[in-house]
Amino acid sequence: MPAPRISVIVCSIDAMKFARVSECYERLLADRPHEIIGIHDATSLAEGYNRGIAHASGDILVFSHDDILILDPDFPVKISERLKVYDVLGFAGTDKLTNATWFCAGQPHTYGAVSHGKPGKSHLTLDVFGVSDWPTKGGIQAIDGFCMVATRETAQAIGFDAATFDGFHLYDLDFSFSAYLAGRKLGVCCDIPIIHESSGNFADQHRHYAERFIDKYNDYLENTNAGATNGESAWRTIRLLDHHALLRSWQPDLLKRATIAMRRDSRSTAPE
Amino acid sequence: MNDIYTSHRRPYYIYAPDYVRISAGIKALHLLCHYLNKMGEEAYVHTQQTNLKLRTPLLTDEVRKRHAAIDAQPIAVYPEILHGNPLNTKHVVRYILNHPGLLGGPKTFDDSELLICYHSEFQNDVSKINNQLILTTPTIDITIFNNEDNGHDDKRSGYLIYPGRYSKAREEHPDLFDKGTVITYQWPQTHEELAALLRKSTALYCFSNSAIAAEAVLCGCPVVIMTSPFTVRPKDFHDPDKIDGFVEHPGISSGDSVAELALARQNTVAFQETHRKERQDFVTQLAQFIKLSQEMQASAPTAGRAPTNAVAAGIQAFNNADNDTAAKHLSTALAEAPEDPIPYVYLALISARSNLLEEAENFIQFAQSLAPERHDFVAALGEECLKNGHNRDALRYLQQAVDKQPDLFPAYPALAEALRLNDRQDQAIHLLNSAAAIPSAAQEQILGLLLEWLATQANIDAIPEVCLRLRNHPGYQALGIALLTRTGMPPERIRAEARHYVQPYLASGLTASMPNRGKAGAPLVIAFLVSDFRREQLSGRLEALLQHLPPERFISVVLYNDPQAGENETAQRCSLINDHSLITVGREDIDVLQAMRELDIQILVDMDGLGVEHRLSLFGAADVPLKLSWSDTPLLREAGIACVRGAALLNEGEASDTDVLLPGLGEILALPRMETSPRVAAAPLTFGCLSSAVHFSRDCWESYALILARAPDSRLVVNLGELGASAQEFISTFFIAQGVDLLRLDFIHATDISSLCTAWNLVDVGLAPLHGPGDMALPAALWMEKCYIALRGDSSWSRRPGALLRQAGQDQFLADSVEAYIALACDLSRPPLPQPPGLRQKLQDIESGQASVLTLTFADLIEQRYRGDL
Repeated sequence: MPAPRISVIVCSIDAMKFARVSECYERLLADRPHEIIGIHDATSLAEGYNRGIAHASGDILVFSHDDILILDPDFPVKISERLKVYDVLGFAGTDKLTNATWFCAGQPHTYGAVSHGKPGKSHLTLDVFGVSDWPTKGGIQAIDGFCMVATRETAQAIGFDAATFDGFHLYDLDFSFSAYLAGRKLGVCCDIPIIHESSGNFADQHRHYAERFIDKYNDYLENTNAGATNGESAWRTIRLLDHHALLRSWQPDLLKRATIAMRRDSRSTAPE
Repeated sequence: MNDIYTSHRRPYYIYAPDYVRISAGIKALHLLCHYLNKMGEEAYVHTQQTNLKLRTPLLTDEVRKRHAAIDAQPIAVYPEILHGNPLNTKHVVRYILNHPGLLGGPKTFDDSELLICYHSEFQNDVSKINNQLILTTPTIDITIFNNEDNGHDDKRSGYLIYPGRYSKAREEHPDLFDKGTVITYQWPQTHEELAALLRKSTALYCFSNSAIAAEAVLCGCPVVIMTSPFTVRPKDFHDPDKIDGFVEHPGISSGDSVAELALARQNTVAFQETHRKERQDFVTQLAQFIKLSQEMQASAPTAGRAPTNAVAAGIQAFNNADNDTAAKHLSTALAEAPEDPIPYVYLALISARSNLLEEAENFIQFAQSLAPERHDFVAALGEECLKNGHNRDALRYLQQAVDKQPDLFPAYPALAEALRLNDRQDQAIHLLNSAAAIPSAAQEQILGLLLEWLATQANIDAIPEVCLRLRNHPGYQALGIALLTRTGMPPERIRAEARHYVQPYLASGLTASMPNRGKAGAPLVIAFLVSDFRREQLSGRLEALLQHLPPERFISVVLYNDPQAGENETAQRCSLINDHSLITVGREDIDVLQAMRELDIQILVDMDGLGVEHRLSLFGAADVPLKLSWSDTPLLREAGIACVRGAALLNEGEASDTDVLLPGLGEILALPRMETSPRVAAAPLTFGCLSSAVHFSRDCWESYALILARAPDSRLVVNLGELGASAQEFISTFFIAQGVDLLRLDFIHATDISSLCTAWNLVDVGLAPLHGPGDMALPAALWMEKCYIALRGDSSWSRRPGALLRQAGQDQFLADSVEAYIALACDLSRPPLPQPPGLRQKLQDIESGQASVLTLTFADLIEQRYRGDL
């Protein structure tokens, strides 16, 4: 059976970032049929991704920010295998969406691990949200949008709500939660080291779209406070010198033990 | 006692060096604070180190802010050696504890300051006659220094010698020293021991103006004052009516004839009486001081030398690096007051800064002609030259200043630096070594610099001695002891040092408490105190423990006591997987102990033993039922603390009931996947000292130099670790001494396990340190299929290299003596080199599943010990 074709859809208005993320995917997907679709004039991420879906020829669609770096060479193999079971995959998410921020439910409902790096900073962080299952955690309701992977069929069936989410926030929770409510199977991959150059933006615009999100899903959410962004006991963070240290630390036993510890006590902070 | 209804009392800020037992002046400052508080005043001491027995609260920012908020108008009390008013208070008291200027500092003081003299002799030195007051703060503990109920008094024998700061005393009086008992700054260690000697000796020969003279006389021991620069009154303080002997009171003699000694002995009683009276007078003096100081008017805004506006402006501009403005103001000042040396000094500094060395010389000569005793002026010019790269001139000025005034200690660090920059590093270290032995305000700075330099050389024979002089700093003492284990120092001396180190903490509960059995079935809360994550062997072990301790049986806490933990990968990973992180760096024990109580910690394990950050005070004070030490230098065992140890490290019959014994070496090794490279048969044999250079003492390098001298074709790879050129140079000297060509040495920098493994590929035979546990380099050698030669090791801290070899079945590489070690190395240098097969496999057999197995064993043993079943 031939390997599935993978379409990577990236909305980007930054040529440098687009070149860098494209290079990353070209390297990862070198021995697979693939395409990289750049959307450089999107009016919103939802609009851009919908356009990408329309143009995509792949069996698997990767909705990717332009500021990420995936460090696992087995990425295509892993997502291809897992999409036989799941419909949508992400890298961080929750099995209990309580309001318009996925990590608000706190422990033990958050899952995944992500590294964050910021331009001009010498170190990377490793943020562990929860790794109780390895390599993938199922039963997920919502996923963070820095990188989402879906089967073509699911992406087309669910689509992005560009009318409601006509900016750059909440399109991801809307897409993944819609898929969940439609009976699709969502999972979080815990074994794929990934670096994200941004750590989220919860400014006024987020609140605006959070209100829209709550209006849309009011019947399903426990907490209808659009301003709530802080997850209680949501994650643990450490600082690492470089990607070598990150890879040494991204180990199942370590991340699982971190999750046990975090669920006992999230107040601990790493020494600075 | 002041009226408790009086609300407006000014607090006192007393500016004092760190408390030291042997300096009367420093003690007087701390005691003044103590007595002021006892009199009902509010007094604080501005210092780092206090005597816990005294009521001397530290002056903190919070205290100062509180006083500022209520406009409390504090009174600063400065010793006479201090220039100006660094605490910037409106009211300044100058406590004249010695002849002004004699030990440095100003000779004149602002009129607005209240001057108080420790002794009437100093009154003549200060020009003002108003508001002078004698305040002789008693500094001698007469419950210790007395001659009461002295059974030895009528059968005294032998005499004592106190050279003090006078380093030539022995050289000038060899006969005296041959028969007498010499008192030093370090010995006897306690007042009680000193008093016992004074109470049974016939006389004390004293070469320094020190409180020991009064202490001796109070013990009934007459004092013979010997001539030295430290007992003769300086020329400009000379009063023709007085004898030159600096210390004058009954019981003191300038000669040691039978008659003179008999008279002095007879007079000791008179002095004891005088001293008793002085103590009584002090209460009155103190009350008068309080009254005067509370009533005094505000001092001048720039209390100190009362510089003219032009001088002050010039100095300010100089400090702001505005040379032109500074020169302009100082020239004006010269015109206004040509007799003031200060403008000349600053003009000299400006000239040096501007590379006008001839002008600098002229200006400093003018300054000296006005103030010939101010050698600190010359030293200041030397320091300025140093800052501006004029190293030869810097050395000349600094040397001149110190030659003229040997106790100008603040200039010593700069002089040492100047010597070093003029390629006289040995002389610099020698100078610092000498100066470091003498108590002074600059002593700690000198010791710190010395320590820094010795550390860059990896001179681990000399570092412990310096560390152990810094007994006020437990961290240095701990480091000193840890490094002693890497030298050939007799184990008994090391154990004694360890006992001394632990002693102060014994009272606060360091000995293991009785376990409380806890709630059956509830997980035990176990805490690990870690002070140095850079030691991979130890921090890797902690990480493995945290990962494998069964979470249903243990809740883990890590106490992060390493200031560098934020940058350490292992520390960061530990913080990810421990149940609770407790950061102790920068926090007072009391705060951390409270946080520990909140976590209800039941077991506390000190993970890395002795080092500069070691926090024994916290370990000692923690109210935890079971405390254990798990260190490669199991010295806390000397204080009865139970240790976690590898059974393979023990000699037969050595196991103690209290120790927790783990299988094998009790180590958890995490070795990288890395290929080994085969030996090139024709290549000359290469030895390797790949444990970091800080593990090798002088005798190691001497032995290795001998090996290379006897095995002329061989080479040696030395791992400097994090050290640089200074260490390379220091190590090279040992090989040069044996005539070994330095081209036969290769210096590398391997600082982690991966780079160590890579480096072993360069080596044929390893050379383990002769003393101490070595480091990760030794298992890395076996991992890379290389053997190393090791001593069997007698002491518990030196057995690891041999034990590891035995575990790998390589007893043939073990030597019983240093001679056998050298002989074995020389034998191996002759082909064929034996190639022990399958070392990696053997190590894997030892290590296989070790992290989880060893942790579970540890968990079982610790739980049994805690529950009281072991």
